[in-house]
Amino acid sequence: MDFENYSAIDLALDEGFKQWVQSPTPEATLFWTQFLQQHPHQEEAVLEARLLVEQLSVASEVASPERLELLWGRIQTELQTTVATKRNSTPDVMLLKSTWFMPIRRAAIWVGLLLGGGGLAYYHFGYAPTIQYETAYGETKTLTLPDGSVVTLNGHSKLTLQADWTGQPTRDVWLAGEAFFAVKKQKSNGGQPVKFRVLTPGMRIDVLGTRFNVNSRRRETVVALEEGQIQVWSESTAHQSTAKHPVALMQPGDVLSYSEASQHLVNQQANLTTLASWRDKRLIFNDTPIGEIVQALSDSYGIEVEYQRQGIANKRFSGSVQTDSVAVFFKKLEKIYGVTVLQTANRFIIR
Amino acid sequence: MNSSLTSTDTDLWNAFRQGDDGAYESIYREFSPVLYSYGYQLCRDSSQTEDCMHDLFVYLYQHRNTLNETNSIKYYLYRCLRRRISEKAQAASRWVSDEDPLTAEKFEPTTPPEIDFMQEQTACEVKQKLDYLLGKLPKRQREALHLLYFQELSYPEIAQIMGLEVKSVYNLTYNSLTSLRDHIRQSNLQFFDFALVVFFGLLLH
Repeated sequence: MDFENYSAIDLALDEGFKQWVQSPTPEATLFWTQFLQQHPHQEEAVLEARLLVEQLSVASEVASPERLELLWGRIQTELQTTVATKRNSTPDVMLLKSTWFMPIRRAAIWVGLLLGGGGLAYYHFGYAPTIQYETAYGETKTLTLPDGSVVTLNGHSKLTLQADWTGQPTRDVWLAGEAFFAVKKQKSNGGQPVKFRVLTPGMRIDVLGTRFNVNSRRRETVVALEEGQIQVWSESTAHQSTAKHPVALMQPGDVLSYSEASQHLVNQQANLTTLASWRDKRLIFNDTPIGEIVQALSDSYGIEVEYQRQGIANKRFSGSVQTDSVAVFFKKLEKIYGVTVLQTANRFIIR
Repeated sequence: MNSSLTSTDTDLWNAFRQGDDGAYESIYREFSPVLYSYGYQLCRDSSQTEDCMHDLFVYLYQHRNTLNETNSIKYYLYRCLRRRISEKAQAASRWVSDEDPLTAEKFEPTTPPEIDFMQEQTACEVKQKLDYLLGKLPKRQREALHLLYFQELSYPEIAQIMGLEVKSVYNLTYNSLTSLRDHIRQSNLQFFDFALVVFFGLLLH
């Protein structure tokens, strides 16, 4: 191969080059390092090709587990309905051996959650019995609510809801921490849509059926809307009977934050992928102060950081942090900023 | 019958065709994530992708006795989904032009006009920018790049799925990558600035 005359495009399209970028082997790395030593004029082309391959390899819409779970539910429902119709019309139709779409199994899963859900509490809140789900630092949990909506709880978070939603005018959940919601539309007996409401300190989010992320920590709430439409009420308006208008109507792609201290709503827009990336066990940052990153790690994963180097918290970092191996992130800081990081269990000292 | 014990695609597929519901569920669990990503790149519409996947899986289940054999479930499903999405799009006559300006525009963030937010400019992610630029490419170019890099397929495999000669796939990907690179350069998106930071971070690491 005369790679020395290849353009960046040629390189990026080369099967061997692509494989080296996507899953490097020591041999391939050696080959390309030597190649660059012998042909330094190709450095720019190799770099550009590498970036193209790297970025294109991750550039795609990825379905969340909740989304695929909801779709699986839809498929099962459809098959169930078709089977029922067939049974009625042709009684001699072969009986299905399947068990996975039996309603009883669904009930079993639900009971399983209630009994063995770990960290699950059952107590009385006013007169209505409520259920509570809680996660430890670094733990995420995906839950199916009584209406079929799916919630993924991030670490160190708590979701509380009424045990029985039948006959309730609204479906209410209380959130402390962070969660991603995929809410199913629901209608009352009268055919009216039943609202789903998320309550956090200082804020209320009203939805019909949609997908969104809520982060409520340290008396500040950030809502990121992926799909559908939601209304946001601040505490000052939400609990007054006179209030008729929400403080904001959100459209897909909007990211809105509300802090109790400033009583101020800010529309940040369009880094929703970043905000909901915790579900894939990684956090994405783009030119973010290290102090903010550390805060996020301490909120959900219980990481403690002590700064013994002046100004390091204000330095910035771009890239992703694997939440199940945060030590790697601190290693990167060592390389980039020449600091030393000492680790004891969940505590990191930057000096 | 435990489908998790069956190792190859052929076995899993045959178990499903013979009525093993566990195999059916395994197929969904294993392939729905990549299938979704592929479908999305074809039509750039999440609910349309979901509808087509829904119809596809219902169809497979109902016709499992008469389905053909396959030694690669993935290609089988890709080809089926590709056909469904293109049929649906043709029916909705939205497939008319490859370069439908709406496709590119719908990724712009929107703010409801009636609310006076304090605008705060935040840096967009490279991934989203690239996604936006990919949306500007003709459908087949986008599809080829997606299969080559995201799905990590080889040229012969892509040829099989898209129903093209291998040589045409080379040409198609060459043109796609060239126009994408031009888009990146024109868009002045700091794509390379950000990526450089990450790249040098990795080098140092």
